[in-house]
Amino acid sequence: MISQIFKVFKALNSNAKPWQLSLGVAFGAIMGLTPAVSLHNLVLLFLAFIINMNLGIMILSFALFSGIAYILDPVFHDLGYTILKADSLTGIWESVFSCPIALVAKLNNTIVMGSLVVSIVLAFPLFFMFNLFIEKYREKLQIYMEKFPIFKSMKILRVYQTITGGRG
Amino acid sequence: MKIFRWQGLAVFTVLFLLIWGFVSFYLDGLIKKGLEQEGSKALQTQIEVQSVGTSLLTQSAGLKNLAVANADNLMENMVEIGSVAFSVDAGKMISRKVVIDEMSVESIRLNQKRESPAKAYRPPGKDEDGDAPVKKESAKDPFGFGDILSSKSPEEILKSENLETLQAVEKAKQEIEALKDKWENKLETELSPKALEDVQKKIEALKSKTKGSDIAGIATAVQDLKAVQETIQGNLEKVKNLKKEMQADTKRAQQLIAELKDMPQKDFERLKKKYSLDLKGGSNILASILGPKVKEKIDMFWKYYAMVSPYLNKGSDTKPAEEEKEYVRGKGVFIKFREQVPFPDFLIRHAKLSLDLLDTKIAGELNDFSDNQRVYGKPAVMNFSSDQDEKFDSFQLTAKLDRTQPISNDSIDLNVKSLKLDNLQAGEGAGVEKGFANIKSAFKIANEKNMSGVIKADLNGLTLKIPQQQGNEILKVVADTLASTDKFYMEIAIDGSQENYNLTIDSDLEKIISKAVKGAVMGKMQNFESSLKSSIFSATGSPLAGLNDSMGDMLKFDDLLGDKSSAWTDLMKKARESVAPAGIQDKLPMKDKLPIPGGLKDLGLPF
Repeated sequence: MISQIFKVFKALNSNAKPWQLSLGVAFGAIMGLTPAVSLHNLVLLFLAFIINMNLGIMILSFALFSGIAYILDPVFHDLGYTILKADSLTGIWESVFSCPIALVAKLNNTIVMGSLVVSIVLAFPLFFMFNLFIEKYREKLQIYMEKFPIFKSMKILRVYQTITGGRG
Repeated sequence: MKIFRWQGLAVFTVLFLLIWGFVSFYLDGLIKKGLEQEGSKALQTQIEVQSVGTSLLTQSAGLKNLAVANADNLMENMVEIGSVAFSVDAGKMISRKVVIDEMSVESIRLNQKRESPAKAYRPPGKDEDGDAPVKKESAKDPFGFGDILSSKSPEEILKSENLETLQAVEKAKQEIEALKDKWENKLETELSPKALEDVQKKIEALKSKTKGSDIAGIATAVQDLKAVQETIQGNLEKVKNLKKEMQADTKRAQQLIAELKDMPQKDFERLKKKYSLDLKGGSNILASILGPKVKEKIDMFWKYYAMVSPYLNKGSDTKPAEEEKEYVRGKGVFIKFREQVPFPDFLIRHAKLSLDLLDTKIAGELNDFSDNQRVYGKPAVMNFSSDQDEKFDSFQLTAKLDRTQPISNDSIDLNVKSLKLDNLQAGEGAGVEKGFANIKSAFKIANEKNMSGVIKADLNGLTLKIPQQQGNEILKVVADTLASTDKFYMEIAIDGSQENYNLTIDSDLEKIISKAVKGAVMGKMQNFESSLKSSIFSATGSPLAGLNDSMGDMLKFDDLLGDKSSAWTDLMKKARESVAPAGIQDKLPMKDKLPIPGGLKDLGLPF
């Protein structure tokens, strides 16, 4: 856990662009909030591999939002049920689910539908807010943070790892 | 800074291939485990598969040595299938529909013995050994005659059988004795001779009072007379009521005896039916021999039918579409939507089948087996046929499961020509050594519940295997007749539901046996019947006579009541005479009302 926190700070203090980190958070949030084994998560995983984003942050975000998803499971079910059973949407759903891909993606499942809607809606503000946070952090907090002995030691470790080629 | 890292594509591809490889490697095992575990739970009986082979690239799969155990007999497999191979439509598979265009099912075998008992998923049938409860024929009586052919003498029969007459006599005797006790008691307590004597004394006292008395003395005597006459009148009323009650009890006792009159004859008829040869002799032989076996086969058929039938009912009106399940944490609920182009979820368009039956292979095919025939529009049809074989001249079995209409209409037709019969066991020790049978049957099952149909079989060129019968003459005759029978027909009709159906077996074999038995033993049976009748009448004669004696006692009580009545009437007369002599009384205007004060006034007395 501590090493994961270090990784976050490492990423925050790295040269990576803010969007690379924010996208990781957003992707992790979607993957974490929705059921892990699903088609859209496979697509996200594929995108995560080819888009130059931070995978460590994504994994961390995934772990964090998975825990939240467990708590929100009944809410996702209720929301998904409401969406899928809405009379006004019946025609649309009948068309959508006549397409096999929608069935493979399990979009007719209440939890998949509810959590996907919530996570997508959440992903955008999360992306922009985290972006803003990184920018602010790097502008104002980074200098103070690096003064902490623990982060100093991290820097020493990084130098040591560079010298030893990461074998230490 | 680059937006894309193309090396990630390689990593993803490698990862994907690894997962693909992992799934492919373990898929067969997972399917095998799933089939055995989930399939067993679903069918409530053990399912075993030797191996499963799948190919994701060709979307094909195969099973080897599939066995479905018989839940009611764990030492037997209901179905064994040597191999199954099929390919699925990948496009439909994405839509979660299993569509098999072509399938091959080899070596289907029914009711095969297992080497070790199957795992029980539900309590087996009532029999401990798992066999369906079937009435077993006695070894002494391979033809199922029961006691019809008993060689017991009438005396032995009477020792082993309870005569209903004697039981009824005993019961009637007890009832009549109870009535007797009641009347003895009543007569003693309610009509004690002492009461009569007391009144007698009072009358004597009255007589002496009135002799030489003045008018005041006579007046007192009249008052006393009134009291005495009231006592007598009360006793007369009592006797009258008792007589009425006695008449009812006597009537009841007479009725009991009358009811017993025909009972010895009834006993005779009952025992004759049981121990003598009925005039319709042999009418139940074939039903006794074949009935349990046919029932066993029908029950087995229902079991197979109940196993397959539910899988065809998705579109049925009588079975509503599966309800949405309740929410389960982490799993949610799958909502079903109307399909724009409806299609069954499961469909086998065509399957080649091979059935191992009667020690031979019979080829067949299955067409349009779908879980929703209302949507698919075609019934499932299974057909097995074979031309001349060493076992038969031709074999044709057609089963149609039609759920295209709101009420299902299934049918099964079988037509076998010149089926060779070799060493077929019918009862214990009895059977067919060799012969031929032409079998034709047609069954219909309406609404998955009511089956009706007929199996007709012409058997010819027969050599029947009949165990040697020792001692019993009739059994010998039956055995000889059967042994010399080379042909007969039978017709088995079935009508009713799985739980409650009528099975009737008709055959000319009955007539053949009946005729032979009657011819051989008619005289002997008549003697036996005559002897049985006289034994029964002799055994019941004495107890019946005893009852008549008891009845005589009852009638004595009636006489006794009559005597009492007369005695009290005499006393009444004497009482009147004690106050006014008979000559005067006759002159009184209201002689019968003497004790009433009005009567005295009529005398013109001054008080």
